Amino acid sequence: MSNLSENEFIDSLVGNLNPTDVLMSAEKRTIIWLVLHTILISGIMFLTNPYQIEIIKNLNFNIEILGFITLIILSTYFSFLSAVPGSLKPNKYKVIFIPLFILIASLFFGIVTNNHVAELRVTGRSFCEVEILLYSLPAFLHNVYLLSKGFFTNKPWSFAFASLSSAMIPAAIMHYACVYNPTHVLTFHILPVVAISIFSAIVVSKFINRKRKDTL
Amino acid sequence: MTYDRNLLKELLSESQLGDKNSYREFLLAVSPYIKSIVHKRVFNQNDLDDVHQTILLSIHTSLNTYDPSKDPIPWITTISQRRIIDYIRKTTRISANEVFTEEGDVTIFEEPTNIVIEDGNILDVLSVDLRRPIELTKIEGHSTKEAAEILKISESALRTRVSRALKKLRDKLSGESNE
Repeated sequence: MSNLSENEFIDSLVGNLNPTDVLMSAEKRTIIWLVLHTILISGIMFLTNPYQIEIIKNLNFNIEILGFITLIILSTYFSFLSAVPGSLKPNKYKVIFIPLFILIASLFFGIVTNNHVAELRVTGRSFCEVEILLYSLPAFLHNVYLLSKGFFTNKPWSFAFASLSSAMIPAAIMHYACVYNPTHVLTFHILPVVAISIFSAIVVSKFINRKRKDTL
Repeated sequence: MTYDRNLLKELLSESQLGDKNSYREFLLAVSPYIKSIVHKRVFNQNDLDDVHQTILLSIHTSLNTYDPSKDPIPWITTISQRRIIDYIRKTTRISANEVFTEEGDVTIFEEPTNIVIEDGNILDVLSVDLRRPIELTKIEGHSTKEAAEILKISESALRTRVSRALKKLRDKLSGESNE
């Protein structure tokens, strides 16, 4: 790589030093990104196909909403944290499975007990799964752009979190805006989100490379 | 060896502001720590300096990612580990296709599109049909098309012969024989 001695190499690095714009903290980035994209996505969804936020008394429904919110916040925070070396230990990534498990378990419980029917909306949106993927795309691209300013410590996980948080926002809004039927929610809201997250982790992460500035 | 984390933190923060003296001091202070990590994972003595410098360069290009309120050691450690993993992956890919022998100091290694053969005595094991394609493409530097025209065979036939020749050479050097 280099024929320079250690001192010469250090001299060349020092000579190349410029004041740097320190990355905003992961906490601030999470808040700003979440607020921005939640407003954008919910606004676009409302304009394209109006919906109404109702207070739902079904316990499963509320557990699921909490699951969505936790997943969105955690995955966004983890994605930004993963771009700062030393900030997120690999074992902590797996914490994301807890709210995901709770969300899916609640939906399965609803399917088995059939307790969702009585009071909840039965009208839906055509192509809700397409809407989820489409509306998540700008958020995902923005997230990846912000990640690229950092240092990829684990690219598949970074892309999985970015994709999960981006797609979970419209999926969470769909919980109010589309038919509330656990089978429908699992098949057309959750499954596409999980699939696109896995796809991002395995495929997309290989194609998007931050240009490594490994030259002076 | 113990490291004064507060001092490193201060030096790194000042480096982010462009203070070259602090940056030099930081790099000199952190270099032994990086070397200790590299020595545990990189066993090829020839590569130690390269990996060390790669890590220093990554630290240089990733200065903006350090949070001045946090301990710098995990930051430095993660960057170092990441670059060592990259190095290990790269050398594993190369060595999987590499055969070393003391016989005439020949090294034949295959990368996705290139073959490099140094010191051609080993080619004596090949028949004329297999030797000539290797000489034309790998030693004389002809393209596949040119070599095929010289030998008056199709390009696919040429590729097949080159592939068979390489396999034979690899088997010979590995001490295996399919005959």
